[in-house]
Amino acid sequence: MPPWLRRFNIYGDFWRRYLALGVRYCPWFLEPVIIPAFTAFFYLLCAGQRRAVQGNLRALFPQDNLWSIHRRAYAVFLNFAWVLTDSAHQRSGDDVIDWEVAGQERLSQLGQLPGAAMIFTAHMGSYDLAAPLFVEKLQRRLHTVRAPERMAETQEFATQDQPAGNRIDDQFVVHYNTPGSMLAVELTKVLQAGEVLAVQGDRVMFDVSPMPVPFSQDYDWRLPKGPCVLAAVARCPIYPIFVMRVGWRRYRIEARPEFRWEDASPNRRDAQRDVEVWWSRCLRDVIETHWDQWFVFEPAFEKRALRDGGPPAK
Amino acid sequence: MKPEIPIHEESPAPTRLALSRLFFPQKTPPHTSEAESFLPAESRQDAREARWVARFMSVWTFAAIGVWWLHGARQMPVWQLLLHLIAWPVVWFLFVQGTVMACITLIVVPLLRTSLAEEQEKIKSLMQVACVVVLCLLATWIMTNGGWIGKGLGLAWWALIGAEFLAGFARPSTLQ
Repeated sequence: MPPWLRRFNIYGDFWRRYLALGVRYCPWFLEPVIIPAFTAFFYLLCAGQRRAVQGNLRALFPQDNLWSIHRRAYAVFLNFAWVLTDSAHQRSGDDVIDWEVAGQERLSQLGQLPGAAMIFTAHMGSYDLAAPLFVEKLQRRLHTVRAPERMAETQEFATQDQPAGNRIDDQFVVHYNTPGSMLAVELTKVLQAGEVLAVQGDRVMFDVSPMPVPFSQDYDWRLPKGPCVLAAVARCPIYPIFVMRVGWRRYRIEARPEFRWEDASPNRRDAQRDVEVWWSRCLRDVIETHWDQWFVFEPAFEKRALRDGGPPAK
Repeated sequence: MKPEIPIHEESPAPTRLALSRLFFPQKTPPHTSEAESFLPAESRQDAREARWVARFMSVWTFAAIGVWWLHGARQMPVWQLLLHLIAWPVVWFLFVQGTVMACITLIVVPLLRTSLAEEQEKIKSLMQVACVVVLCLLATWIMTNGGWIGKGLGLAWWALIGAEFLAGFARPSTLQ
């Protein structure tokens, strides 16, 4: 495929640039007409992602019929489109997002902690959107981990125009999970330096190792192993914090109860298992409530029968 | 972003249309028990207004473009009519997109080369006016050529534009 044509690929920079242009000049009364229409377009176009979301929803709602699964999957796509649009507004300098904070005390606690801490989160809302708020609330440097964009042009667009040297830039550090980047070593150093590290522990991408965790009678879900291994090594406080879209240009930061190391096993391997079980419960609770904004476009579950090579457990 | 306040002190978000001011009494959205504090944006919009404008604009543009696109359907052979019906959502999508893109190309791009380039809000307002003009032209066309459905849709559009204009003069308490 010629390079110019690749830019129109769903991972290409064309759509990001088009969105950026749209949010700058599209009249406010046409924006909510265009976004759902575009969502429908991408819903039809992105067959792989659609099937993955439908598969994930089928694991969450096994009783649903085909129509309900389609309706729910479209809702996921639509929420994702609104999050991208809101992020593009923020990027273009429009201050249009209202924020609610839940779990204020836990956030203050995290801000005042003397040493390292980890934040476990999921692919919901947008950490880019929430970055200025986190910086304001925590008053300490926050490191996040992100998978790089699949295309160089998109990555370049995503990182360009970021104002350098401002407070957010200094306090919000993004580490890219690129092959051969020695990310684990880098992140261990971050925690050794006593800083806060936020990781998204719900999506297995590229060469990330999965850990199968039982989800239901028929399904195991595939969560990334890395965050739990890192947590078990560092044994630092872990806070589950989620960013959710709760309405029109309105988001919520929700800090849930932290993992208690006092109750965990002293053995590293067992402690890792304790973190895995705790995190899968936390995540399950959130995605069952906010299934329409769980932006995981890869299969997150695997049928137990497929893995074991036998019939599903009864 | 404005300073953080307790969530129960949240003020209602303003509306952009005079009509919404008349029909939607100012109220804060319902809060969930978990949220404790609130950080309002500089530029806010009432969610109910955003919702009703989205619904109205989606339904109206879809129907109006349908009237325009299916004009003369009675004379079409069945296969052609079927093709037109299938293409309707695509034409609607392209029309709405095309309107915005054409306005950007014809208004925004030339303006960005002038001294107005820094006046983002003025350019945005001009874009809004241009898109409303295009939709008014569509409403006029379907009123004259679209049969009774077109007349009804056109009248609904003009009634809304007229009501919005008049509502600008009314006091919010008039209709509440």
